[in-house]
Amino acid sequence: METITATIVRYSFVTKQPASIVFHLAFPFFELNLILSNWETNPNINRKNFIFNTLFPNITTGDSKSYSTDRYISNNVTSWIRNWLSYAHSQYEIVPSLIDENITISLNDNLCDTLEQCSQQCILIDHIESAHILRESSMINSTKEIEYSRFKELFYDDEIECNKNICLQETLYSSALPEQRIESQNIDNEIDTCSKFYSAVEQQDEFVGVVNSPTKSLEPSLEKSCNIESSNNISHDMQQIEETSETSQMTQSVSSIMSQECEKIENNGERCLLDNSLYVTVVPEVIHIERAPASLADLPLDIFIEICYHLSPNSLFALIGVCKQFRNWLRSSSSHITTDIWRTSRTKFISYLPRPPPVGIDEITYIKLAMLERGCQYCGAKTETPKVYWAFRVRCCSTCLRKRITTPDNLPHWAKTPIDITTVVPYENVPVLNSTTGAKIIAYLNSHLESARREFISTPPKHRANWIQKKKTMVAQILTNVQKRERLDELYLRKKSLEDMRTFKMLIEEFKQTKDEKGLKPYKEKYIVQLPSYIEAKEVYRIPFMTNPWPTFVLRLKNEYTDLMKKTVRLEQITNAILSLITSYDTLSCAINMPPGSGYQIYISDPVIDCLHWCPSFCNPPFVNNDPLIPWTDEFLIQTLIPRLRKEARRLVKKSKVNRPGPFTTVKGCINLAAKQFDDEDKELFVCKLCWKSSKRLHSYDAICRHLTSGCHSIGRVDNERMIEVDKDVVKKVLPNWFASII
Amino acid sequence: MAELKKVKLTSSEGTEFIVDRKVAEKSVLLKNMLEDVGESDMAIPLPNVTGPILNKVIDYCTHHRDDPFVNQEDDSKKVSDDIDDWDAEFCKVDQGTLFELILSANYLDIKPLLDLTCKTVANMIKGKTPDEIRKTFNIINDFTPEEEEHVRKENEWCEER
Repeated sequence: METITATIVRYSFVTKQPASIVFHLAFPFFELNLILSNWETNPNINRKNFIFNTLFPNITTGDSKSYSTDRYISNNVTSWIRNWLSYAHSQYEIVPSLIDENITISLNDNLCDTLEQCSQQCILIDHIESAHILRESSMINSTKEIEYSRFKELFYDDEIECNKNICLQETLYSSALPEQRIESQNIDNEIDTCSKFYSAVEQQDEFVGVVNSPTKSLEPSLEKSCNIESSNNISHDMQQIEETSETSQMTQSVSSIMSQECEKIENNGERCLLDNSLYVTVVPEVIHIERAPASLADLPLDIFIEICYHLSPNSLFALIGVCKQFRNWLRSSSSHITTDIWRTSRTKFISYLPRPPPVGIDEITYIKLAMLERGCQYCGAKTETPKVYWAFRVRCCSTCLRKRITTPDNLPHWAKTPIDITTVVPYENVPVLNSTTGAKIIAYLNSHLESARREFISTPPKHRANWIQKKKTMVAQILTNVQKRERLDELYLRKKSLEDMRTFKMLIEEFKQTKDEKGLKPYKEKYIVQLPSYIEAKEVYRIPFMTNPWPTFVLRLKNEYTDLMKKTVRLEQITNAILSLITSYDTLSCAINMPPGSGYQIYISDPVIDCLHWCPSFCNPPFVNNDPLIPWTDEFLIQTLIPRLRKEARRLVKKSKVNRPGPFTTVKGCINLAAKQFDDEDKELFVCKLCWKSSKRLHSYDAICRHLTSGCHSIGRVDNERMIEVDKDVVKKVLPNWFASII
Repeated sequence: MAELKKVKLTSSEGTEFIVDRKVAEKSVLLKNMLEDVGESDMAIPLPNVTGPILNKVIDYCTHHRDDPFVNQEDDSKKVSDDIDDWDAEFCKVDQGTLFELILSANYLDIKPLLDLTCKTVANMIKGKTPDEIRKTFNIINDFTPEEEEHVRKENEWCEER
């Protein structure tokens, strides 16, 4: 009848291994269901070595006599289960089975009658089993009365306690019952000895009294602190027995048991002495098995794995650097779970890397290799988008690549003899340096050549043929793989680019069409093209990218637009002030209240007009308290900011006139301005410098070129800046427009 | 079957919770149990779950009582950001509670809650440097400076300068 069956009730989500196991233990006197939960994540257990038999020795025996007697139980099962429970409590959580029934305790018929009334909830009666047990245990008939009352006591108390913590109690009883059996034998022996001196009735009465009193004192509080108290009680009772019985023999034997028990209490604080024949294993941890972990590092492994499934590769890399445990978990090269975490992370977060890694590269290396946003793996430069050279298994910029490759023409002597090393290393087709035609040339990675040579030399001559063969197969495999990958990558990129371009245009159009509450379109294209997100997104479909910019794109545009507008208002304040200061611009000037005596004029030839949009103070205006919403005072504008701008502009003009052609002082700039500001491109804005002042007249650019090359001047080659002059009076009419355009 | 729809649950301290069977069945553990045991007045003891946590779990299950069961395969496609407002509000708890919620969700086998709480933790990790993660989760740095440098290099992968 004694069997142990294990039922797996739950599998781990992650490891797919059994997470909770119910053990059903069937004994002649009781049955027990135990659950092991989350054992697979318990760091104390070496999962590989987990064999059922080591945890649960096979206790089924063929000899019916040997296991159906109390002796068998006392000798084997009880000690085993006690050990197991005390061992298990420290390592696993043990809870009553939630799946089948609560812990089942079967008792014999006589007991059942009394017990049934007391606590039907806890005890289920197995009639067939118990009838059998009754016969078996009839030999200890004399002590049965004691046992009954003890059980009764226990279960009455239990009813009170029951509501408080059923599960704990049940665990207690399950462990207590076998104990009781063993100890009852001891009692039996004691009584046999004692009965030589005293009548059986007296003996029993006394004994019951002794047994019950400590039980009572212990039952309500199953705490460690009660140990001493209870043992005190017991020794007190012992004295009573001593007095009444006056039997040294019995006292000696009983007290010897007692002292043993007391020792055990001291040794193991988890044990409480209920009476001189009953142990209860108190395990406070049963209730608070899984306290909230203090930190992330204390979480069980399967939870950690579950969290990792939601993390991007970058976050996983960050986790690796947190502590040793995380590093071991996430960098294990053999664990399929680790591989799975990285694979999930890659497919979830790196949309451009949907294909599995090539042969010979693990997930982590593969991801690292493909992380273009980290820049070149050698120099770390991010100015140029690096390229992954799959055959070389490197990600680098073209400069770093050039330093590390050899073309067939430049192969050193050692690479050609005794064997042609190039046949055993992979190659890439790289663009020829300074080539405009896009021609490509085969190249080998230096480190590959060197390592292949070293390997070849260290290979014994008789194995070399084999080695070459193996290498060649590998290289062929790599190259086929690379070719396939590159073609797929290209197709994928092209597809992605098209998709992105479409998304980009759609979103921009949507953004432009946005209407405010007045039904107006507040977003002007002129400003939209200046927004950082717009510029960034325009680049997106030209270069490989790491992030998907689209979900928050419009929102970012809106925010940036608002910021830009704040700045624009301030810049307008500057240009208005400048306009009002320009000579003979009274008609255009707005009413600026100039403080008396501080007024000055800006002439149309002033470089500030030409170079305003390049001045540092104009690009990053000194906002009051860094808030673009606060306007500058006129005094600050006229006395501080504008003089500063003029100074900066003058410096700029000195530095490079040609690179920054001013629209009002240079012909080149004026031509550009005319193209932008005047509908009529042939507007007459220019004056010939070579003509006499009196004969000067306005020409369009084409006309003045004709004027210079023919007629009175006959110039062979027109030098714009030296021969043509911009007529400032005409041009200054477009000043307001010009300023508006540069804001 | 349809009449009796309440289920009694007992937390580790012994606090009793009465919930609709439908709510309890969001937990696969309880669902299987209820199916196995059938109708019963007995309270189901949950010794691994404390009262306040069980309360939160029940809150969650009540709010999501009508959600369909999510297939495991669909799950991998979901991105970490898609937490709705109620769930986000639900997860605004201290770290201890959050971890307890995770453990309870794992124990009670409530996959959506486990996902949600794990996602919340994942979002706490996102975009942080190892040092920030250590601070956030109170993890002790057991690397020596040399090891740390090694790990950093290993991650950066800028060798052979």
